[in-house]
Amino acid sequence: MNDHFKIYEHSRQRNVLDVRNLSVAFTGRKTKKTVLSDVSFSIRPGETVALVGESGSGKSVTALSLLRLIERSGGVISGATYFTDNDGQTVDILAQDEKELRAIRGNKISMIFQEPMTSLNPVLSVGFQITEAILAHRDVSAEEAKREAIDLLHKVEIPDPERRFGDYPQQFSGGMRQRVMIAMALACKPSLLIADEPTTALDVTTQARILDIIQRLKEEMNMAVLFITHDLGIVSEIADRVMVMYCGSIIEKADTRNLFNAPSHPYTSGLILSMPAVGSARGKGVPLPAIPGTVPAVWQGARGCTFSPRCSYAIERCRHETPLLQRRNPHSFVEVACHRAAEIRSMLGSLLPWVEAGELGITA
Amino acid sequence: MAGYIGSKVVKALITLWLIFTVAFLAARISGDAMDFIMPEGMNEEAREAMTSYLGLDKSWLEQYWLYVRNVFHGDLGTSFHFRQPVIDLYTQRFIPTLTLCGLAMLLSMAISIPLGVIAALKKNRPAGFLIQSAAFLGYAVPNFVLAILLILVFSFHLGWLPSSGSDTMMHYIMPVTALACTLIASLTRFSRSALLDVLSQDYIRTARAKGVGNFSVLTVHGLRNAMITIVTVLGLQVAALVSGSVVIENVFSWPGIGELLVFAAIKRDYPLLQTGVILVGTIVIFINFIVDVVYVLIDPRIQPGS
Ligand SMILES: Nc1ncnc2c1ncn2[C@@H]1O[C@H](COP(=O)(O)OP(=O)(O)OP(=O)(O)O)[C@@H](O)[C@H]1O
Ligand SMILES: [Mg+2]
Repeated sequence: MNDHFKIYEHSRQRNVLDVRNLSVAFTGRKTKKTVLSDVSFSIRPGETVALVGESGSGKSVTALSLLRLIERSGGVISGATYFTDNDGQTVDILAQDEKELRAIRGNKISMIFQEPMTSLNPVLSVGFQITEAILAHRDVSAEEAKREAIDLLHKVEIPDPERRFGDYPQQFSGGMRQRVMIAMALACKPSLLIADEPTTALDVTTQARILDIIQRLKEEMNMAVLFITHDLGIVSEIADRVMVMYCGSIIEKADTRNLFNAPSHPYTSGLILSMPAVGSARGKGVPLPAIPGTVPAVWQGARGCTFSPRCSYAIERCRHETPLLQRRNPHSFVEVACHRAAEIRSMLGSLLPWVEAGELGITA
Repeated sequence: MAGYIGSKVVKALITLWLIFTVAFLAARISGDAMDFIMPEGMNEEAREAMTSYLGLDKSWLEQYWLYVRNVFHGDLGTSFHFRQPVIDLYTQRFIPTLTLCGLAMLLSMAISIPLGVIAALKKNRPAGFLIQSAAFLGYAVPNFVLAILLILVFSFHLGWLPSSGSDTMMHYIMPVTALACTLIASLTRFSRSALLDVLSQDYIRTARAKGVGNFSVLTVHGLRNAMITIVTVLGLQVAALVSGSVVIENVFSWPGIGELLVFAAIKRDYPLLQTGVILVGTIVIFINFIVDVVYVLIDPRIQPGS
């Protein structure tokens, strides 16, 4: 009851982001490689949505195409991406020209990247790189921008920000650089933060600190977060909803609790069951049901479900007919792209016991 | 910083000493100065008197030692041919050579960096292809061939530019162009590839994601980083540029060190040759030093002295 009320409340607000049939292909001289096909999703204000998937599934391409940062490297984007800012203005990002795009990037939608070591310019001081983000969008004096930049460095918990302001990226550790990246991304209080595996390159303790900082600032600034990761542990900690990506398509969408509690797609259950925490909960000596095989390198042109070659439940139909992302049943908000979702769910039963054991770090 | 400059100076002196030693030996191995000083058919006695007057009767080791000692006393010797202290002969010529090389360097940078930027931005388009091809051609044509072509066209046929001397600004045009050509060609190609490399880096994507404009992305983020590579290449090409100037000076009768140096080599005028080589080496080291300073200014990762 309570849940349904919350969802009702949300639906009255405009989504920050409405992505419809986003497809991306990279075109070479003679080749055309489809990397994303018909990705649709939306993000509500203040919500954290996780996008998970194996390496190469198209997570970064999704993130980059939201800000149209892949066109220079040959990516061709189609579909529509409606963005609504805090003032209620809605635009289709894919229809914007360079100048309008620039006004959105780093201002209304910001992005932080996977590699803190290479994402900052080595010949410019971090202070310069943060003030640059402020001055690109706002009409403030250089001193004012500097003051704000130092304030931001404070917020991301960099010790002694006045002194560090003039330091260069190579004088910072990976975790500190990622904090600088966050400070830079949040300089203009965006409505949406896209975080592309911001903690993957960091050690576990640093990871936790960075996640805390993102969570805290997200609440402070009331922004929505699209959090990309392949770490389901992180997903269970921070996400309100989860989207699972496989081979450039979203194959399952659910709220976090539902996903861990009762995954619908065999790929999703495979992912959850191969989490170390779940593995140990299953007891010693029980082999991890790791998903056999690897992500196919080239999947375009193939008919049928892209997961079918690795799926132990695949039937003839799966190999011929591509399943569409659909509601699991008319009363559910869970969407899944699997012909046999309903049957498999009853076969698998519930993962609830492990959730209840607290092994996943979420509460049932 | 003082320590940094100090160590640079020590390295420079050692380099100069090595250059000098090679020149000293090469000059003597390749021929006898006496053959050029004494008219043919002179009697043996006069020849011997001259030999001992010039100190050439002593062993090479002894000559070497004496010359080095004199250099430390500020005496670079007297030209066999002109009978004047070589230092006086060269003082007038140091500045013209430095000017020629310096202008050629500035011209190369002024032309090749913009061309390289255009070639990088217009990659796979006609403009980029044209610049690439022109750079390739420019690299293939030797300096002196270009120099002679320029003289033929602009001095003999059109009569627009003087073919020798250095009196007016007009005199500078052809020698500087001919000398700069190879450097323009190679720097254009390096600027293009350096910029293409930089523009594919993650931090460029970060800058775009921040909403920084194209021009700032190119200049503040792109070129600043590309300059590190370009300046490195420039430093490596300085020696080739200065040695190219020796040929160019002779083609255009440019009153610089190179012109006199070739004369000294032909006549086996040992003091003149040795001093000339030291001066050319000094110019190379001096320009390289400026390049190093520029390098430290652009790249904060280089800490002078470390
Ligand atoms: N510029 C590009 N040109 C051609 N193909 C590309 C380009 N960028 C990405 N791809 C391809 O798109 C696919 C998806 O890549 P993407 O980087 O989105 O994966 P990812 O899910 O982010 O993986 P990871 O977890 O390793 O970051 C890959 O097959 C990749 O080779
Ligand atoms: Mg990625």
